[in-house]
Amino acid sequence: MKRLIAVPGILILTGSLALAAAAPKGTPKTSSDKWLHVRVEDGSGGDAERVHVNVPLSLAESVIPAINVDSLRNGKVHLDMNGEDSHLQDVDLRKILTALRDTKDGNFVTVEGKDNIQVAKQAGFLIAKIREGKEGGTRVDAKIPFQVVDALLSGDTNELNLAAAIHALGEHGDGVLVTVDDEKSKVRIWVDSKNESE
Amino acid sequence: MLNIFRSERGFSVSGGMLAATGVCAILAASFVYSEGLIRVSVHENRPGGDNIRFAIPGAIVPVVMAFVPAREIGRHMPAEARQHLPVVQAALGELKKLPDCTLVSVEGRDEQVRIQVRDAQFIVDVHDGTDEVHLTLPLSSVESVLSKVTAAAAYAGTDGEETSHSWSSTWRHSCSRQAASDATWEEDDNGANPKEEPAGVL
Repeated sequence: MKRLIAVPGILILTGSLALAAAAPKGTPKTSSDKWLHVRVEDGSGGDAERVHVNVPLSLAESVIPAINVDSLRNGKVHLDMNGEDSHLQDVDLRKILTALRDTKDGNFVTVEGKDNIQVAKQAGFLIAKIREGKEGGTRVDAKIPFQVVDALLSGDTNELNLAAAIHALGEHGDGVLVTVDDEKSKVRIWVDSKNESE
Repeated sequence: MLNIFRSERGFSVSGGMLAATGVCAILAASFVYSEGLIRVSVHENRPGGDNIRFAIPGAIVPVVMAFVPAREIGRHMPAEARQHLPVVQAALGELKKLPDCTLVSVEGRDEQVRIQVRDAQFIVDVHDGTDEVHLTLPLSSVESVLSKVTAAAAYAGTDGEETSHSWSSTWRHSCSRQAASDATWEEDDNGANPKEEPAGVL
């Protein structure tokens, strides 16, 4: 009788251990995390080249602070105010941002001419639209949440806090950030919770 | 005498050993399966082109790495590799948490590139019209190698020319030229007498 119990017992134990060993390891899947997607289509028809990049923001958030190359250090881009970024010396981006944040929605800059440019604030987003005048010209649309711009400028005056901006992007909802269209190519950058691009 | 080998309940020693061997074999097979296979396939589609194809169980990587002396890896490790280790560690930590996904996909007329994470394996497929490269790396194997390389980084630049170069570059960021020169001399001196091996590192 004991043998009858022992044999299946050993088999069940072995099977359980084998399954436990074979089971995938690591922490639970984090599919709810936000993903940054970049899609580039260059050309058309059979010659078109398509590039899809899908990056989990958690990956970017972890990796960027670890990169210490050139002006990118500890997740922050250091601007060389006395060198190649000297043109930013006379512009106080933080003051401009504060002023923009405190004002009502509306168009701030409208340029109509050979190219049309529009900069506006709408429902917590900084919106920029550029239209090249000529037919088939480049069309650029950028829609950046103010929280992200805030986070980007949260460091010292001469640095852009890239890691904080990515974190803020993850905290924000889904949406298209940038689209660029022209005669030959299309670029789309967006954030959502899917781990594959559409 | 024979009673030693045969219990009263009818279990024989040889039968028990056979069962134990079977259990061990199943567990070992499960472990090997769970660790995945490292697959490398290179196919050059032209006359005389290389055709390389091999697959080894990822489970043997930690075993092999245990026999590779960290000191030797460290001695030959370029300063740039040491500099980028934290990036690779951070990336690997996050890659392990990812669900199955395609990270990069390039599709052109004559080329296809796909970088994916599938079943805790990092998969790279490249097809450029004539040549094909397929690489599958279980993330657990990469982690084993990385932990060894991280341990080896402690020995980076502990001999000869490499010493002077790597320590100089490290100190260049924080010290004045004169101070760096002195510090380099001190560290070179240390390099001539390699550090004690940290505990737990082979």
